[in-house]
Amino acid sequence: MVTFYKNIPIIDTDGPTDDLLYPKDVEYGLVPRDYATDPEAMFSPPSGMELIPQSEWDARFDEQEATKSSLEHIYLSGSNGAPAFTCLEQNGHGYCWSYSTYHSVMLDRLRRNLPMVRLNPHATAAIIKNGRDEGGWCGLSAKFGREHGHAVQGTDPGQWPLHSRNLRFDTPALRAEMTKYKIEEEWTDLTRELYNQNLTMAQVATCGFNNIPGPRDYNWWGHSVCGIRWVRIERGSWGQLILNSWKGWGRHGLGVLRGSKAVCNGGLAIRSTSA
Amino acid sequence: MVRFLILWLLLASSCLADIHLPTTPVLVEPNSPKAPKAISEIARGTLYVVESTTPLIQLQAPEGFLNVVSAKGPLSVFGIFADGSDEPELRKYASENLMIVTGIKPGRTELILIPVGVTEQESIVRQILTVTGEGPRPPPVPVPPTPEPQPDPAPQPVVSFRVIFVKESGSTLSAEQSAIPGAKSIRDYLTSKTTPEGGLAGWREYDPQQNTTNEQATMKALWAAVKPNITNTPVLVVEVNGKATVREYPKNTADALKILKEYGGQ
Repeated sequence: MVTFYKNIPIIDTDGPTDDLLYPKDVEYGLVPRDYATDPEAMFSPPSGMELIPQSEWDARFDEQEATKSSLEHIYLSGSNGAPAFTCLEQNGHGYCWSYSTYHSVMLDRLRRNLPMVRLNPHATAAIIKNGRDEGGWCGLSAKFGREHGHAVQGTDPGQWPLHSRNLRFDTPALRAEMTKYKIEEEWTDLTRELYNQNLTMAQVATCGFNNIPGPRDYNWWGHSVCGIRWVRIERGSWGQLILNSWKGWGRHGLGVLRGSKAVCNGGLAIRSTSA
Repeated sequence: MVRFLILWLLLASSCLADIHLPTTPVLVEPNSPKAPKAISEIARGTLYVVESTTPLIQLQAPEGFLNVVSAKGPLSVFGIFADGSDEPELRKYASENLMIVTGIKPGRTELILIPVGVTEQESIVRQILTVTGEGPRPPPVPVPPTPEPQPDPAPQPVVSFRVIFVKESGSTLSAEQSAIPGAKSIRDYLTSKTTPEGGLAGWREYDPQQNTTNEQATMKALWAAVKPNITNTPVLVVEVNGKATVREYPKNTADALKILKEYGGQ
């Protein structure tokens, strides 16, 4: 039986959640990071991150709940608890590793009240993979986004049509438009090989309490999603609130990973995007 | 009339566009060798009136030397003017947007005037002003035998209200400060009270190194003007009726709301 955190389904270490993890007719697309080709020096280290000790987690979570200030609250700030934007959907292509990054950029813009645009992760994935339907890890899309920016969804010049993998849309106008939505601050690599599981967990939790979204890769799932918040499911039990890119999944795309399921194998923090 | 037209042409050709600073001489005779020169010195107690066809955001660097009041024209003003004589006079200003500037204390500052909606940096007007210590000594004013109580001046209505929360994107603040500006009460207040542009409420959270290349014009101009004055973070930037203030970051959500309501009203 599936359990819930505020009507959001929980994916537990031992829970019967196959229907949630492996529903029919969805694609994943995660290919774990190969440190030989994508070395640790690819992103900046999180040494500058002031970690929030676990002893403070309860107080931080309580403050976020009392003030309704977390990224979860901001995402669900539409009328009657609806999301502020409909989550992106990868529609049968193995591009989850681009959707997790794009979701992070959109959430960063939402929380800082920057002009809202609906972005299209298919553009980045298709360009990187030369139009092929191939998997990857979140760092590939993040690196591309830092250098080139992110595409806007649409059919006007400079935009990329929904779910298209056609490279004829990769025009100078598109590239010019993409540069408007670049990552300005350094990405922080949360999952260097040398880190142990606890350090990665502490970094992920700190991002959650600071409303910093970021893509998360889970090798056990073969999937990449966006990490939104570090949530208390019950006293002493914490989980990663995620935003998925599957149509009709979870509550408005939200789910919670708990226990060993919450430990990501690839993770980045988006600190700031261009206004 | 001709003299006014010539004066206007001279000002327009000097890229001041539709912002008119006080100049000397005030009027220019046809074929006069004297070109108008913007006044750069004001004595305490004199009035320095800026006229503009568009609303202005004003900033001072450094702050603390000038008091600036925004007003709507046409407006009659009685006083001693920086571009006038030492005698008080009654003037009528026809421009829709006025800024009445007075000196607070002796010193030198830069007055920066940003037209709302500006898209070109060249449209921003900068004027160095030196406030001198001695003001003009107007003739004694006869005191009426039974002075009537003067009503308190009406508070200026808030016609422009924008807010920027500036904090280092990678920093960890206290739990209470981390809830700013995400708290629902703050977001709701700002969304309803700040001046929208293009349908989007006039508040943001920025990193100190925020790139605003693609921002909306007014927010971009506000950031360009205040950024040089931000030396440490986190800070709160509040702009009301064209005057921007950089102040200490609130301690918690309640403190933030209290401060914001002082500027933007209930």
